Amino acid sequence: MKLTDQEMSLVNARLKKYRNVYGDIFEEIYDHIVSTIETKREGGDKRQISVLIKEVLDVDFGGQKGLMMILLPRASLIRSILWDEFVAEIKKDKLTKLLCSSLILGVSLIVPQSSVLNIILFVSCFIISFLPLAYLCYLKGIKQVLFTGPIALRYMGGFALPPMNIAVVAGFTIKRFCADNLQPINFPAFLYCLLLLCMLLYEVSFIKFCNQKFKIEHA
Amino acid sequence: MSANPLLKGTLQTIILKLLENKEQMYGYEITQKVKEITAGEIKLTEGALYPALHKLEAEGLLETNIEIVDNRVRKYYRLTEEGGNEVSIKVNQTEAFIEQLQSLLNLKIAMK
Repeated sequence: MKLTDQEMSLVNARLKKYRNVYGDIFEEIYDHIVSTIETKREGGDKRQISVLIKEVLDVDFGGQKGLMMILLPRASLIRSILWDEFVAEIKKDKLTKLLCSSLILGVSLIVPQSSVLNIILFVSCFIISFLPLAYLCYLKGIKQVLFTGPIALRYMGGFALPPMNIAVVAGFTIKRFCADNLQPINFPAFLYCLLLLCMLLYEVSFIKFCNQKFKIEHA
Repeated sequence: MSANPLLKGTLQTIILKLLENKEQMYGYEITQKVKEITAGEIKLTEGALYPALHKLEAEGLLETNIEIVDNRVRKYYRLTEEGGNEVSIKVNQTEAFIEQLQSLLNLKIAMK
């Protein structure tokens, strides 16, 4: 027996109380709970929806502890896939990348120290750090990624944040707390170029990961 | 009906074998199928099933397909070509293990 829209909303709201249930796991667990309750109803179970939801979550899934048993390996798996993608990206066309990187880093070592150059490099890092999030918004729409979309998208959006954090940490925080000679404006261009190259690699791997994920996941 | 701890090592084989016989299945359907085949004697716990499915997917043995069913997202799993080849290997490994286990257990009984 199919659940009513109101009952399905109750399941959704109840599951959302488990704040750690994010990503594609949410949709999967939600479908599992609804399917279980539908089967119970077909078997003649006439108990209230709230009782059935509690029973499925507590007994079948083992409550918060049981849900964490599903979530933790999944989160670790996603991190590991993303890391593998990053490593694979480093290894791909290794010679070309090595030559280009060496050239850029070499040039950065010999160019005269200039605050204008540092500002340009820092701004480049900062702009590039937004690329993964921008790409995700391009794929799925800003509103979906940041506000109303499936939790999976917001979770993916979270993965786009580390490069932004690096850019911000490398910039404003140090500027505020360090002595003048340690301020970002006085960093050697080499450091900015190294950061820029690492961020580019990370972001290409993240974009490939998104392409792979959303090829099959069009919800 | 119990969540048998002995199942732990064979869970992936069970999932692959079930998917070999059916084009695609979703999580809840797999738990129900196992329950039906074993007349309710074996219950796959959700906490073990989903990590196993996700691991098989990450290893490239399963692929997923999303469908909207009754206004909700349903994630179906099916075997990849690699997964299809892996089924017989895993089934053979499990059968060999069961045989060895039987020999061991029979030996112990004989020693009593």
